[in-house]
Amino acid sequence: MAENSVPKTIQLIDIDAYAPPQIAARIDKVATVKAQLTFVKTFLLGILAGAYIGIGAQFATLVTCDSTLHFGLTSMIAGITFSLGLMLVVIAGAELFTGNNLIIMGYVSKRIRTRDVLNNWIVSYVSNLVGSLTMVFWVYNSHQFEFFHHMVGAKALLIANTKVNLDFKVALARGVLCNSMVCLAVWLCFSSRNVADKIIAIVFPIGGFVASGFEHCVANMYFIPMGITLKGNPTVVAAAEKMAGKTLDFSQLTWGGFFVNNLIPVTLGNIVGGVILVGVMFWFVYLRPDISFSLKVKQDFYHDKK
Amino acid sequence: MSGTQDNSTTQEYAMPVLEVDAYAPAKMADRVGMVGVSKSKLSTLTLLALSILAGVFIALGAQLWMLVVHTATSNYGLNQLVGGVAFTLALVLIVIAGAELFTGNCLIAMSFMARKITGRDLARNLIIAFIGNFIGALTLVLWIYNSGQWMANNYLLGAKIVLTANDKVNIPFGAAFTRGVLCNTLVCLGIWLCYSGRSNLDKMLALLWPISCLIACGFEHCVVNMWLIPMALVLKGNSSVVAAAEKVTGGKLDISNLTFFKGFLIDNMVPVVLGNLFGGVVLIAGVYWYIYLRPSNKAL
Repeated sequence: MAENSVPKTIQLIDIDAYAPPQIAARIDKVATVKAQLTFVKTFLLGILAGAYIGIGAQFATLVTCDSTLHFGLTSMIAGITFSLGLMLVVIAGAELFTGNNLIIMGYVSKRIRTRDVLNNWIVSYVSNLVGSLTMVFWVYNSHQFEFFHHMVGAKALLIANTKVNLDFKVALARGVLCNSMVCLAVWLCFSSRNVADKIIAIVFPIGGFVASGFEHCVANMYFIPMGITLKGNPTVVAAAEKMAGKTLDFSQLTWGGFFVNNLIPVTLGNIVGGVILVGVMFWFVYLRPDISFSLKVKQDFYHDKK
Repeated sequence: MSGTQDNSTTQEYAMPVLEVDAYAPAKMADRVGMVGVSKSKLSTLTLLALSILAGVFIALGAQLWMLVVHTATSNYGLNQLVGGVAFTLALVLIVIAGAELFTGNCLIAMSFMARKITGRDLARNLIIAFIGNFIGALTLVLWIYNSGQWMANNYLLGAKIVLTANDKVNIPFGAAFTRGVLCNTLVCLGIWLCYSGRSNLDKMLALLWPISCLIACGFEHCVVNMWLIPMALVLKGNSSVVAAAEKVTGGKLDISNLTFFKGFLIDNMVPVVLGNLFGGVVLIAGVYWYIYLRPSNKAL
């Protein structure tokens, strides 16, 4: 807040949600904090983020596995349940690669160095992968895929198989749209003062991107390895073929297919969406040097009225 | 909570008073007027960038709405409602993340009526917002087309978009105008309610009802149409989408009016934009200005 413009005798207490220029200033500041985290802290928080997104992903898989509602409604329910992942990341605290794309704002306003940005992104990306794979290990060993006549596993297998059969251009465009929405969700959370605000603010964009079928690289780090693991289980494969009503081709569902067909284009798309469409765009609007937004947003409309 | 007000309450009660209540309507009118003044000071580039974002946000909401309803075969009303709730995403992003939406900005006509900004300021804001919204919506047409999302369920999503857009370009002028009026009164009311809220939860819940109502009830929002109809114009060239659409209607589909100039601009945008302006500027901004901000009104 602009304390210097307020007389010292008056204590200004503001309880309203943060206005967009204030959000930009707060994210700018957080970028500095994140850049100063030690390697161990970033890595551990990154593992947590990967695990949290995995929890959201397996929740969405389970809830929608035998849905007889129409496709649109089912997708929306999947989105709402998946929001759990980002709620944990934002409120409990974790370093998610896609959300961390927003620290580009601190970089563009020259608060942090290129090395800091790359360091944060690479460490969080790798640790998100570690966290997601850990979650695959735990969820697989919980034998949750056997629930409801292996329908849960069948659904997970079908999701993964769709994801590794995307065209490069399609995966890229879905990645861009996805991370725009994830970064917008984080942006909304920086506007909020209490947890209820944050939770509802997450449900709309995160539920929206999942329902729309956009591609999130960290979620895929859970979905696809889970599919690769389940592919080795003949009962699950049989259940999946029954669910799809046809013989399925799993030839692309391999580690190579995961990295080449999905993770690379989706990660590139996520970076474009988060960094350029949200980070740089909002930096341009609120933080570029030749601009000064008044942070003191409350003043009387009619100064002369009183 | 401003300086002058704090002073007066301090004198009155001899102790600082912290007010946490939602803003009362008179105070909301003050706040809207103030925002109008600060919006009029935005530089052209900033305004354009924020307007592009608003177009993008509306398009994100609109594609989600289409996705949610495209497979519905029964329970028409219920599915419209769910689609409306999904669309609320767009206004949540615009109000909280901050963006300049043409229809919502009709509210700042209150500043103009209260003579705090000039007619030129108002026109500049609305025209740049309109252009920016258009650019943003068209950008999302590109991205969403490339995402291949319209192929979902054997091109059913693409078919739904074409059918909805085809309905929109075939509305008679009077009906399109009226739906535009109803739509923007609801949008501006949603935003008006947001000026009462302090927390984001307040704002999101306040948006949910009016915004889902306008989508569920099929009213016409010009910025939504800036995404929906161009998307349909792109998709109608795809024979699989048209075939899927004909399967839905169960007969030959007449999409002859689904064209850029005649169908989109003349038959849809003109009446809808006029209706949106009338609903926002006259029915909401004008009426609330008359009630709370007109100069003869001494009691605030």
